[in-house]
Amino acid sequence: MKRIFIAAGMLISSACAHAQELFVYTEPASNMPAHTVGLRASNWLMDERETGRTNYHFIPEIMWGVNKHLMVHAEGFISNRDGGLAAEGMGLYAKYRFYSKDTLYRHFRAAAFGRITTNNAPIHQEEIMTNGHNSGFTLGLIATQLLHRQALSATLSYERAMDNFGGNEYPAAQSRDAMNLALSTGRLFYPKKYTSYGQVNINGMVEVLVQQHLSSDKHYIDIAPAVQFIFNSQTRVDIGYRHELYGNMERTAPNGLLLRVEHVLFSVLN
Amino acid sequence: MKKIILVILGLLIAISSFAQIKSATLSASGLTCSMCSKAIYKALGKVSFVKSVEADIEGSKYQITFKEGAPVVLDDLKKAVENAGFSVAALQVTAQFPPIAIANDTHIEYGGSTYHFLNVSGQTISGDKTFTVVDKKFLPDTDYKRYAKLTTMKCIETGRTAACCTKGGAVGARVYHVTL
Repeated sequence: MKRIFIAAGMLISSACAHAQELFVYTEPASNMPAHTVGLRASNWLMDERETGRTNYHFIPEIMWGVNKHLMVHAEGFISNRDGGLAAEGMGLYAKYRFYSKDTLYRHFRAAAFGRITTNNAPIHQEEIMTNGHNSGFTLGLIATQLLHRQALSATLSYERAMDNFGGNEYPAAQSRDAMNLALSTGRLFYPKKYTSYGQVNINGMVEVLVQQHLSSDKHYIDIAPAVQFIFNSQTRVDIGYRHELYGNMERTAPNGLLLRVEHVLFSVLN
Repeated sequence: MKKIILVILGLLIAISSFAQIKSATLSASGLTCSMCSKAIYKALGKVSFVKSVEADIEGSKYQITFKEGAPVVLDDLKKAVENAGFSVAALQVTAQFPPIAIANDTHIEYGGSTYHFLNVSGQTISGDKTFTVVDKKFLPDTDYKRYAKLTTMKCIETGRTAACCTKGGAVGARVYHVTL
């Protein structure tokens, strides 16, 4: 366990040279610009442990920068659990940036966030995941430090699963509550020097994602490297792979790909 | 003597109302990525009196030109940068001045706005001149504090005219603190 933390720490520090903070598996403390709308489509292609089939979750998301402090997301959850695609629920996410210290090429920011979700899928795993698997809520804090072109972010959150809709009750023997910790970093590989908004940006990210149940000793530690392409300084394509490093909880499909496209409409609501 | 000064002041105000802010260079802080830079670029472009914006992405600098004849509200530029999620690190404004006398730690009316000059020697300025805004949130906190020590007037803290600095004029009007 200790070794895993040390290895994760080394990975994070080695990947820091030119970090960006548009993380793939977590959100940074920075918000989307005010009066701006973002459209995001996340495709989770996870390998089911028992069956070997691909567990596909599609999460369309609309994001809105309300003002300089607040942004909200509305998301839908669609999956292939019954063969064809079926809508499973929806979610609302809000993030409030309450601290900002900006200097040239640097910032430190802190934000609080919450997510509330519904889901009607049967519950087959101990992992709590309100973002697409469980009805429930998450409350958390994010701190992000940008140091010239290096960025580090930590996200600490409390997540609680409720009974899913459609009579899919949360198993009584499982812990309903968990604490999550995520440590994230990234690196700008290209371009070495910005000359225009049309340049393709290529970022590399590494994130470590930890969940610890509160009323049992169940936990997992995942590592999630990702590569990110940004086109025209406006459209983001993320390709990530999430892999369980260590865990003792039952998880249906912990390992697999995340393919995401995000397009930002700057100042469209001005 | 007092009357003559008042007449001269009145003339200066009348002349200055024809003066025009032409362009500005704004440096933003708190960002390195091109997507962040584009957010600021787009937000500045949406400000009603802005004619065009040219960005230096690597330097986080924006060269802004203003629409002719449109009143320029410098606070709106700061608001645009802050709404994009970042901060103003420097704002240098180029304006065409009629011959106008300025003095250190003194307010002047110009182009419909009030300016409070700091760290300048008494002089008459004319033609295209560039000044730097030193109000709170227009430059790093440490620099702002340095300028704030150069005056005892309360307007440096609020950006609004206070009873101590209006000589009977309107209290609460916006006053930009600037240096050459």
